[in-house]
Amino acid sequence: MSGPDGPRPHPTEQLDPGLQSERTYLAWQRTGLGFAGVGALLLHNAFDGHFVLVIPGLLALLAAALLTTRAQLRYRATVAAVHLGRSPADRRVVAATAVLTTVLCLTGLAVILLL
Amino acid sequence: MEWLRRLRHRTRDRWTRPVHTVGEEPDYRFSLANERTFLAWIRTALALLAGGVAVVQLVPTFSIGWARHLLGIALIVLAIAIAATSYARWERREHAIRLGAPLPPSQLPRLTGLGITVVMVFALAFVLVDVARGHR
Repeated sequence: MSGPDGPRPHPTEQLDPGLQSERTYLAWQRTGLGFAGVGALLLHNAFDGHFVLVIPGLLALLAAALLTTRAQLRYRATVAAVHLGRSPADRRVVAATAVLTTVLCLTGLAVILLL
Repeated sequence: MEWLRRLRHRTRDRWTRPVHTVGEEPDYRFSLANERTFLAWIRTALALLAGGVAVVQLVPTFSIGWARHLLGIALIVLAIAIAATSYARWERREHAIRLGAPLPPSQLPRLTGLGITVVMVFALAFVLVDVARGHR
């Protein structure tokens, strides 16, 4: 497959011996799993009678789904950017993750204060 | 009103201008390392949040009634501090990397270490009080 910027690189292509893009991909996956863990904890407590916890619980699970699916796309984008000699930095993804985490922490605090 | 126009221009610039326009294209490995460091801080915040929720929801009550809430709130406040500053930290470092400047210093590792130490000392104190009172 060939685009205007040349052949599209295969996502599993090895770019350097340090496997930087793959490690970054795995870091995104781990963070997604972290969100899933927090979501599971909150929902677990929600079913013990604290139904407010359903809201942050679902928010965390949504974040987990978003991060783990985005990680794959991000990996492809990173490999493509590196091949073209561009910076793989993407401020929107970073900002969105930071906002999601902050909102989740704030709802966590609110829930603790209310219970 | 010239200053107002300039201020608006600058704030808009700050948000629409991609990080890519400052300095020069860095070694991509530095950018990816910066991203992974950001993600590690996010995971730290998530772990502190989980710890805070768990200490209030899952841990049995101490003989001091407010003990669990004190620990939980402290952990979650620390998580909020880390999460809320994480983007600015990532951007500052990305700038420095692109300009070839030294990485800006951060007080956050010190603050996190201090915060966790304080929480642990309090947790130990609560457990010792329980043991002394024969609570369990």
